[in-house]
Amino acid sequence: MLSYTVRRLLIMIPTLLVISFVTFSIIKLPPGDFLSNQIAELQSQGDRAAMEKVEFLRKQYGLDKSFLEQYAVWVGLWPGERGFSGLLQGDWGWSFEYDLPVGQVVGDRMLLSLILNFSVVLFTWAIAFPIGVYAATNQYSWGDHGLTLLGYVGLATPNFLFALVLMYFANVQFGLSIGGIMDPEYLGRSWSWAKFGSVLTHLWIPVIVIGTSGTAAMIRRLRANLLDELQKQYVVTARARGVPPLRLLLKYPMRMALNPFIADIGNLLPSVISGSAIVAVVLSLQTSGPMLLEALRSQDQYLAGSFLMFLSLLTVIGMFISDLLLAALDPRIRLTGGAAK
Amino acid sequence: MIRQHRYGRSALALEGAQGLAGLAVALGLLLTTRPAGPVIWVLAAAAGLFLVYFGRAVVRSLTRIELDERSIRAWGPLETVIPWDEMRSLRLNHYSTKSDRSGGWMQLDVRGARRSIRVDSSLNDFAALAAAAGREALRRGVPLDERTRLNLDALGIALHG
Repeated sequence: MLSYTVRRLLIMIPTLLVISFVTFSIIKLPPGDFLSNQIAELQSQGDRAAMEKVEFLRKQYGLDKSFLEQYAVWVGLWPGERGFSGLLQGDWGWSFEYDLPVGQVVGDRMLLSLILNFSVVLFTWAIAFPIGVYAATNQYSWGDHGLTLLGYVGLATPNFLFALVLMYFANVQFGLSIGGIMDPEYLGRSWSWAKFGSVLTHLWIPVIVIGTSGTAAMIRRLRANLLDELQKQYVVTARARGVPPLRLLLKYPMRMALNPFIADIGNLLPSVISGSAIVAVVLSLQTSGPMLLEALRSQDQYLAGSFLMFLSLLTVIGMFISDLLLAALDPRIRLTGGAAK
Repeated sequence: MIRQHRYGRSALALEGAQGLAGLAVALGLLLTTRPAGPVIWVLAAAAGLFLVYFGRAVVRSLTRIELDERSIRAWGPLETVIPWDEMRSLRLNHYSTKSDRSGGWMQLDVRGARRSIRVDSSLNDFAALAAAAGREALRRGVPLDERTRLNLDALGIALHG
């Protein structure tokens, strides 16, 4: 595993560098920047003090420097006005729109996103695993057909539409307002048990809305993978030898059927932070998804860039973890892929 | 009859270069950019890992594997002898960093009562070594797991029993 870990790490380093460069390039692609727009606005108002601050920020964050220098300063590979002060040094930059350091702006939202999306993952797995296993071990039964139908409905319904329908019915039929991830009086306040309780009472709606399609997709994949494994020779042999059905199921076919889910960890990590942005907008959830959208729209370059870089880092780390797990759990050669050296 | 195996020079040179390149990047960032606390730990861990990897390439360049009817031996800085009678397990794994798991390399792990010998497929005539170890395992009733059998099969080694 040492060779494997080192070779994967060696791939990760240039990957992260390329991602950071592409992210920064995309952020800088549109003409102008947030401060240029601010300066134009302030010049029309003749506000001298605010304009001095804008000039100070422009100099401090090197917005008057060349593209490559700005990039190197942003990553922390090159010293800027304040020495080395970039992503590597833990400085995410300044959010021009919120007039605060990016770390402070995203802190609370990141935590809320983490709570929400982690709950979605737990919900998805808790529902999908038993149903997927049941559907595979009882293929073509009434239960399998019924659950398959439900799965297709779940897959076919867009999350934002489900959220709108649920909001409408909750309001019209029961007089409930189900938007937001906590009661409005707790917004912006520090964490307390009361605030945590408020989050928990609001959490179930977005969890169901976001989790439904994921659950349906997972049921279908688990069913298909498990059916493949259950038809293999070693399962037939073990069954013929009288291995108890539950032990047989859990010992090999279930493990093999889980491989695609382990491979999915790479996508899971970033989605825990930024997933379901559109549903968050529809349900007015104070998570990081809508903030990322807004930052991209307003060219708040350090907020958007740091967000995207953080998500990319999580993807690369997730891929690394899933690859290590897959290599440890299933080090078989794939004859269709090519030969070993 | 004693059979000897050594690691190929080009494979060792590549491993050494990979270790040094990784070490240079990790130490370079650590020493020149004054990173934040958690980043320091990550870079230090990576530097340590690359150093161990480079050290292993050096040890491998000084090691030769010998096997005969009685035992498998690793001669070199980390000398190990495992008599076939003391073999507890034999594993042959395949690793690849490509998403379709193509290419990659194999690793043979022979475990004795206390020590183990682990060799990669960059060893000269690796398939012959794996076949000999597989036959000894079968002769002594050492159980081979499903993936080891599959990987031996992929190397064109047919074991019966």
